[in-house]
Amino acid sequence: MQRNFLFATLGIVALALFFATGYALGYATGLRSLAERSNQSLLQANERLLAQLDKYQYLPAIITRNSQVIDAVVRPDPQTLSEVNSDLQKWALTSGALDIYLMDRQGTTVAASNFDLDRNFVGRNFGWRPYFKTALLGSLARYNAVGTSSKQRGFYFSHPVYSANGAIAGVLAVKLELATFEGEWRAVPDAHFFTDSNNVIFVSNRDALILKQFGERAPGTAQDYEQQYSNIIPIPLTGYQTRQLLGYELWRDVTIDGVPERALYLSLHDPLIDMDAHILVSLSGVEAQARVWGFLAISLGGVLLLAGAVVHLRRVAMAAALLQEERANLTLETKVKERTTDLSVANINLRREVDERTTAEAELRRVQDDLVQAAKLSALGEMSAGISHELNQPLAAIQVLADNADLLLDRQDPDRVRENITKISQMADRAGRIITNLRAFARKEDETITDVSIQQVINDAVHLIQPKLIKQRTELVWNPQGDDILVRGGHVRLQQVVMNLVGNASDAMEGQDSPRAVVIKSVPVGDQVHVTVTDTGPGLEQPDQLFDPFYTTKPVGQGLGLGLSISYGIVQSFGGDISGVNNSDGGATFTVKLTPSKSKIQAIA
Amino acid sequence: MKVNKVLFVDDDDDVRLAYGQSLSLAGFDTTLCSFFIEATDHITPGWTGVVVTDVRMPGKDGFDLLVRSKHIDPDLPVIVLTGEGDIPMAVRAINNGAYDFLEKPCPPRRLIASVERALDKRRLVLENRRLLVERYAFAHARKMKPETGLTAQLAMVERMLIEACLADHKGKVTAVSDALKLPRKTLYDKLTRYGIEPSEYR
Repeated sequence: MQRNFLFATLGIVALALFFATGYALGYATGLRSLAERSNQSLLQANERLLAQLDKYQYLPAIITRNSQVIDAVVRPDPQTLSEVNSDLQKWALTSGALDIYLMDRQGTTVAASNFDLDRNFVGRNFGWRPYFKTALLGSLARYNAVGTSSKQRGFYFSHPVYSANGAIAGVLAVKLELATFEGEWRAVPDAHFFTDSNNVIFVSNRDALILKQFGERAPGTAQDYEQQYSNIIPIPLTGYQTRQLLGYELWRDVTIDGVPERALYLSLHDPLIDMDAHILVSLSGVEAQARVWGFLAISLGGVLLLAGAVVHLRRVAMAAALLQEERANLTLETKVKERTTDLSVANINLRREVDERTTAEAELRRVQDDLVQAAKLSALGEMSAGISHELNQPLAAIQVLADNADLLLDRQDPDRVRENITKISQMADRAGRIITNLRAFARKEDETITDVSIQQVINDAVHLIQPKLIKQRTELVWNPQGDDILVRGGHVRLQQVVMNLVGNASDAMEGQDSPRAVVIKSVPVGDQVHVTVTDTGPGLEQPDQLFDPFYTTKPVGQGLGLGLSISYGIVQSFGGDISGVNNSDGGATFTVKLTPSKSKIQAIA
Repeated sequence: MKVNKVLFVDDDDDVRLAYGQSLSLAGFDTTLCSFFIEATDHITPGWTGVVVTDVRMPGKDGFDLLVRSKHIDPDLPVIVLTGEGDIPMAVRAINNGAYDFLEKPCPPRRLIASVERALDKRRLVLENRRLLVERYAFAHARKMKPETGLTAQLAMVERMLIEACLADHKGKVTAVSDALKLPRKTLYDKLTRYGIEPSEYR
């Protein structure tokens, strides 16, 4: 936003500069051509004035050649004077001069064209007029002055009148009225004026300028002024300001009537009439041209700016795109580098994690094995009372039978002694079996999976768990039916699972008044063998948490909640599955699904 | 009256057989049982013998049998013979009135000694009971009016003895006829004559 604002401001400033430049150029160009044209005008005006005056310049010289005129001053007689008066009148009317009059050496008028008018000069003395004095010195004189009586500005030409012997006998003067020249000149749009040697504007096509002091007043006496301008003291010309531009003088704030408000001032000195010609030309044309140039410049500038802006914007956009691309490339490269680094780090981490995982898995396996073992030992501990009872029975029987045999020997009854010895042997066998089974169970079984007889496994499990069931007064139903099936697994581990399930079932029913029974079944289902353990207990509280470690519903101190978790692990390791559900008619059923061996069904060897 | 019976209860066939042999050899009138129910059929209030029982058995166990025996006859000696004896079990046995607490494997002579002592005690108890009844009946007869005569007095004693025996055997006429060594018909005649209802003793 700020940037856009800045650009807009800069654009406006640039356009303003363009306008100013165009305007200045236009102005300068216009001013120059105007000055050129105005110089021409000035020259023309000067020429015109000169031409007007020139018509009369030689009139006195011609008239003074006239013999009658010479006679009139040399030997004046009324007849001659009368004739000269008439001649002068005739010539005045013909030439358009205002007055033509003849003065003697003292300046007294002897004959005049206006002899019969109110302003009759005859008899009047003009010896004080400079044009008389100059002419008396023998040369053509020019003079400008305001008429003493008529108060009209006049231009005077004078010429000495030479007598036959070449002496100056008198002076002839021709007076022109300037107002007549100016009349037709007023319509010209430019203001023209001419200043005399006193820097007083004497001729002009603008009335407001006439008889104004323009510039320094000449070093003359006040009396001279009074005589020349007939008691009118010219006041300085005011109502304008000047300034210089390109060597030209320009007027502005002009409040003089008939003069343009802003104007070009030019001047010219004409030595012929000893007058300065001045011109004031309106600058409106120049200004108009300058404005046109300014607007052209603006247009041009605008186009240039637009083009520049477009080019700039495109360049900026391209630069930005380039920069962005460069940045993107850079970012991409950085990212690629980072990713590469990350990747290698990740790889290293991954490799380390794999190692850790392998180690952890090994550790887990070891811990699981330990857990299985611990659970077994725990089960053994739990069973120890029952097992000792179980062992005590045959031991007690053996002892008793042996003692009895002793007694029977005393009584000479060898048959019954033999009988007792046979029984003792059988009972020792029984005790040995228990020990063997126990030892097998307690032993840490290696991880190998072999073909095991499912019935044998259940038999052994039942054998070990029986004392516990008796203690808890739980009825066990296990009627192996059909052919035995070989399944994939480990004998002791599978036995542990069955014992765990049966033991749990019995524990669940402990203290219950209704019949307490555990039913074990082994049936082939599809391509699997299902071993089910069903009880008549209260059922499962949370069937979905059964196999979670440390989940137990037994009182504190009676179970770690690891039995089923371990059983789960064992069955899984055999590629089987274990699940527990509540029966519709009460109690729970656990199902262990096992994979039969490839050798399928075999009789127990 | 010969007090020589032993009721041996154990669910283990081998054990039952072995101890049964020992007891028989020692000259006791031995009865072997495997379960609670089987055993209780043999026990009556005036039973002339002692009970030896294992603790751990399927169904009702040795303690149940002990309690049941004491209910039938509080003075009946019950010897507890267990394969997994511990102190709490021993205390429980004694508190419930067990005569002795033996641990398997127990030498036969120790069991036999204990059984003999228990039988002696049983003998004394039963004799004492009979003497008490007799004395009571005699005293009662003596208190009768002089004009009633000997026959009436004997009849009254006889009646009291039958009543005591009925009480001992919970109104079981068969058991009473066995105990009094009377033909059943004779016993029924007497019951009718004395107006005794056996059902009142159940």
